[in-house]
Parts: sequence; C-alpha cells; structure tokens
Amino acid sequence: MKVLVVDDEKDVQVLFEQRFRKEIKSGEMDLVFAFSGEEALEYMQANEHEAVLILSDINMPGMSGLELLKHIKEKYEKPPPVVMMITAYGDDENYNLAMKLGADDFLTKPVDFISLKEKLKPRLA
Amino acid sequence: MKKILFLTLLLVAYANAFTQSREEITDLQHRLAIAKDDTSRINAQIGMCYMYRLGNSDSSLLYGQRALKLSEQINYPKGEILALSVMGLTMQQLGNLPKALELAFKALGIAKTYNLEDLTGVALNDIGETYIILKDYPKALHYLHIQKSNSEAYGSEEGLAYSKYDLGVVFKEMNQLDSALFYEQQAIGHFKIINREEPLVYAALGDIEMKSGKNIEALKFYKQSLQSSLTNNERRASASAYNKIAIFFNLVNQRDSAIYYATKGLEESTIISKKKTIQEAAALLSVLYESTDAKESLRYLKIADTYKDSLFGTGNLQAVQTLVAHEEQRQKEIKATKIEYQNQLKQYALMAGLAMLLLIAFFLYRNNRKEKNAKNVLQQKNKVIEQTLINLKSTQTQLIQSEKMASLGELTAGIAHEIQNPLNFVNNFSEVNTELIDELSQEVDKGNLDEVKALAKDIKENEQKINHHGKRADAIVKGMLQHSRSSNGVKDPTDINALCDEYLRLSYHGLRAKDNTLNATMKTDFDPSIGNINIIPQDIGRVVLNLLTNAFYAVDEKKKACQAEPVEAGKVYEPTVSISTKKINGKVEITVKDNGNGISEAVKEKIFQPFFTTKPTGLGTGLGLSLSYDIITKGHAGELKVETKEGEGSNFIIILPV
Repeated sequence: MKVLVVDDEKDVQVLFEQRFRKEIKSGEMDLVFAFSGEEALEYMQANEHEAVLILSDINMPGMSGLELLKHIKEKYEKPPPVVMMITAYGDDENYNLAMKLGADDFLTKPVDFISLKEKLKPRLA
Repeated sequence: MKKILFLTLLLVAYANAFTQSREEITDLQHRLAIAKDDTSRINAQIGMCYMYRLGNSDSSLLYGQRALKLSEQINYPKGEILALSVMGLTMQQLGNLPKALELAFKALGIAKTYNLEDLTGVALNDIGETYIILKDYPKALHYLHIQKSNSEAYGSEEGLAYSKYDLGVVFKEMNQLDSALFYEQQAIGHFKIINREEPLVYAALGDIEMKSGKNIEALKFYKQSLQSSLTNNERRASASAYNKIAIFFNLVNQRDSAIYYATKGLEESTIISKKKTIQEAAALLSVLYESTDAKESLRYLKIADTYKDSLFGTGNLQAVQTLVAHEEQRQKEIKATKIEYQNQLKQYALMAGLAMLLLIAFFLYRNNRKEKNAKNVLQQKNKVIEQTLINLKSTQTQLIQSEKMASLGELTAGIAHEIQNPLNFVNNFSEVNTELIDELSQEVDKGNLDEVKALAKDIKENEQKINHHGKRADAIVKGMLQHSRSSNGVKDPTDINALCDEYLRLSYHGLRAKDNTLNATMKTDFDPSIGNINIIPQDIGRVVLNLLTNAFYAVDEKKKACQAEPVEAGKVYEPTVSISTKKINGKVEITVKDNGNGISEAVKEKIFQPFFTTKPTGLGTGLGLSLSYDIITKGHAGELKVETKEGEGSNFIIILPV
C-alpha cells in the first residue's frame, strides 16, 4: 500500500525509508514523500485513484498539516483516505482540533515506530 | 491780650513819665481789682511792678513778688519771666546789681526752658545795662547784641531802639565814638517810628560830643535831653542830664552853674533813689565846694562815698563776682549738660545703630536659617527623588526582564516542541542504527561482504544525522538560554542572516504552539555578502523576535477578520511574513515585512512609546517596540523605522552601521 509522508524536514524521508526498509523490501509498503501540504495535494490530485494512507506533520510553512487534513477530509468523501497526524506539538488543543477535522490517528514526535507499525499493520493487509 | 500787655509793659518801662505813670497806675489798679482770672491779675501786678520801679521800689518789688509767686503756682512761665525781668530793673535802679543780674539770669533761664525767647528783651537789656554800670563792656556788648538780634527776629522796634541806645553807650564808654554815634543815630530812628523822644539818647550823644572835645555841641544835646526828660517828667533822665550839665560847667569853670545843676541832679536822683546819679552829683558837689566850703564838701563826699560803697563796695563787687562766677558755672554746666546731652544723643544713635545692626543680623540669621531649612527640605526631597529614581530604574529593569520573559514565554512553547523535531531524528536514527548493527553482524556471519559494506555506509550516514540533529537541539536550547540571559552589552561578530532565520523559525513555531490556527507563509531573502557584523546578538535577536511576533500577530488579525467576512472569489488572503537583509552603503538593513492591516497614523506616532499596545489587556506588555527602539538607537547607534500603509501591511526596518 502506498503511504504518503508529509513533512517539511527532508531527513524524514531517510528516517522512514530506513525504519520501514523491511516492509519496503517485502513490498508491503510503498513510501512517497511530500515536503509541504501543497506538494501533498498535488501528488494526490495526480494519483487520484491510488489508495493512500497519509502521515502528515502539522507545523509546516505555508499550508499546515491541519489544513491539509481538513482539505482531504472535505474533498475526498468516499472513501476519504486515512490521515494520521504526526507532530511535535502534541498538546490537547492540537489533538482535539485534529480529531474534529477527522484525523484517523494522532502521533507525537519523537515517533515511536514500533507503535506506528502496530497501528499500520491492520491497514496493510 | 497777653501780647498787647507785653508791648504795653515795654512801652511803659521806657517811656516813663511820672504823670502818665500815675494814670497808668490808676488804670492798672482798676484792672487788678476787677481781674477775674489769675493771668490778668499777674499781668496787672507786673504792670504795677513796672510803674513803681522809679521812686517806689518797695511797692514795685512787692507787686513783682506777688506776680512771681502766683505765676509759679499756676505754672505760668510768661508771668515768671516778666516778673523777674521787671524786678531785675528795679534792683538795677536801686543799685543792687548782683540781685538785678540774678533775677535777669533767672528770667533768661526760664525763657530758655519754655522756648519763650521773645519775652527776654527786658532781662537782656537789664543785664546789658548792669554790665555797663560794672564797666564790663564785652559782657554788656554780648547781651545787648543778643537783645538786638532777638528784637530784629521778633520785629520789636522798641527792643531795637533800646538795645541800640545801650550799644551806643557801651561804644562811647569804650571810646569807639564812631560806632557809638552810629548806634545812637539808629536808636533815634527807631524811637521816631514808635513816636517817642528818648532823653537818654541825647544825653549819650552829648557825652559823645564831649569826648570828641565839642563841648558846645555836647551842652546842646544835654540841654535837649533835659528838656525832653522834663517834658516827659522822667526823673531818671533829668537827674542824669542835670549831672552832665553840671560836669560840663565844672569843666568850663563856671562853678555857680555847675553847683546849680549838680544840686538839681542830686535832688532828682534822691527822689528816684538812683544811687549812680546820687553818687555822681554828690561827688561833683564835694569837688565844687572843696575850695569854698570844706564842711559842705565833706558832707557831699560822705554821701558820695556811701553810695559809691553800696555801688562798688567790696561786698557788692564780691557779690557780683560770685554771681558772675555762679552764672559762668551755670553756663558751663549748661554747656556740659549740652555736651552730655549730645553725648547721650550719640550714645542713643550708637545704640540705635547697634539695635539696627542686631536687627539686620537677626534677619540675616533668620534668612540663613530659612535658607538652610529650605536646603534641608530640598535635600530631603532630592533624596526622595533619588530613591524614586532608583525605584524607577529597578522597576524598569524588572519591566525589561518581564518583557524578556514574556517574549521568552512566547518562545518556550516553540522551543519545547521544536526540540522534539531533532530528538525525533536522534532517537529514531540511533534505534535504526542498533537494528542495522544487528543486521550487520548477521551479514558478517553470512560472509556477505557487499551487504556489510552497504549497511556500514547507512550506519555512518545515520550517525551523521544523529550528530547533526543533536547539535540542532543543542543550538535551540542555547538560543533560549541566550535569550533569557541579560545582555552583557558586549558586541560579538554575528551572522545576522542565521540569527534572523533562527528567530523566524522560533517565533513562528512559538506562536503556532500557542495558537495552532496561526498560519502564515514565511519568506526569507538574505544577502549572503553581509557576513559577520558586530552586534549584541541577544539584543538584536530580541528586536527581531519582537518585530516578527508583531508581524505574525498582524497577519493573524487580518486573517481572522477575513474569515469573519464572506470570501470573495479571487480575493483569498494569504498571510505572509518575510524577513530580509541587505547591505547598502556600508549599512545593514533588516526588514521585517507583513501584509497585515498596517498601522494608522494616530497609532504610528505612539508605537515606540513605552506601555503602548494595541493588543488586548494582558496580552502585550507595551514594551516590545519601546525596548527595541532603545536597543537599536542607543545600543547600536542605528535606526528603527516603520513604513506602513493601512490595509496593506507594514515594514519595520532596522538599519545598523557595520
């Protein structure tokens, strides 16, 4: 399954590729990276029919992760893609807002990849 | 009334005709009888004293004493002066010269005490004439001159006439005949004015002619004097005239005529008891009878001697001398008193001066005291002000600190979360490396060298990432510490671009941490040619942070306002905050730009004032821009400018000299 990772920090790509290298090797996961909210939307428009799981940062210059979330959940009605938020700002306010906007999960940095893998497992079938 | 009486008295005193006197006496007696008040009684008594002066000296003195006593009782100095003066005349007439002088001096003394110098004419004349008799001409001149001056001052024609007559007599006696003639002629003039013919003046003129050797002319004047005195029934003058004519005839050796006139003179003199003329006549008769009738001669000689003794006798002269001595003593005392008085005055003046000085000293002292007090008060006030200043300074320091902490607070959230980002990499890469190392050892066991190499490369790369992000976290923490630390005021070479970038990130994320709806496009445009410039990094960092925070606040406000309104197509608001650096003409410009609502003119004027804020209460200290302004202008000799357009945004420009 295709996983779109959205974060403004480039090192995220290396980290995710290494963390999920087994899954990538086995073909369980296909990682795609976007480094801003805008880039993520562009990718989704270009690959409309792909089943996508989105892991997005919140604090980003320009379109924030929450705006991206709102956009995706409003635009893709059936079935809206799974969007998990990953943020360093794991306060209640951010969490509640993300949930209200329809986030499927809320993870805080530093990312616990074991727990993330657990959460992804049922959806990787 | 009193003045008229006084004039009358003087007039009467000199124009003494016996018949007239009798009428006057009758009139005075009548007045005395009807006198209702004491002063009229006194004046009448003085008048009687005058009238009885010639020939009835006892009555004269009796009335004089009564007038004096009554005057003393009712404290009537005018009466005292006149009574004493007139009694003095009577005494002189009687030949009691010491008494005459005593009374006259007493009168002068009283007049002086009461400032009644206008009443001293009689007394002065009395003294003058007495000194003539005593042949003390300088003294006589002295008193007669005083009488003359007084008479001129008080306009007394009569006083002038008699003083000048007597002055003429003195000069005649002193053989200064021109002066004598001058005064006698003047006296005649004054007498004419008051319609009187004074026989004594002619007698004096006769004497002068006699002394000039003009015997015939002398006799003429003597005869005129006699004629006049007989007409006026004035025995004093007639006695004198008879004597003088007798002397003349004796001189020209007409013995019978001489005896005739001398006998007449003695008769008249005896009637009025005038010792001087009695003595003169008797002495002449004694000489005249010497050759013919020794017995008669001796008789006259005895008479003459008797009167001579009583006039110039040792006792009398001694008395006069004593009196004069007393008078001189008295004058000395008066002088001494005067000097003492003057000394006293000087003393008083001195004391007054001293008192004034004391007063001035007191006032000066008081002023000094006041000044000192004022100074003390001022000093105390100054102390209070100083203390207030110290308090204010400490408050200011506290405010600056609180502003710093407030901006730090804005940062903390950002920093805390921002640290999670590098930590995310550090933790995960190190975990990945652990896994990779496990894989590596498995591959080693397998002997798969290519795979080992690839893994080792990955591990190394990851290791570099760990190191990089660890340093990043370190920099964030350091930046926060640096911000909270108080400025040490030391300028360090600083990469201004890196500083701006760091604070842009910090402020944005800090604000985002507090308000996650905040969203803005951040643009940077750094001039790489700037390099390091000398600044106080904490301070400039604070200014940049402050400007950025304001910029984010401004765009956020505008975004909220836009969301509240219906969005028109193509008019989507894109909040943008940009920071740029530029090197121009050796100066570095840092521009913080936002596309918020801009600042109105009214607000623009105040933004650099301390405690001015447009933020809701509790959200802004109002010190940010004020402190920023101080840091740039005072701390770095730079400029902080604002360019703004309402509705379009603001540019805050920091200009720093390199």
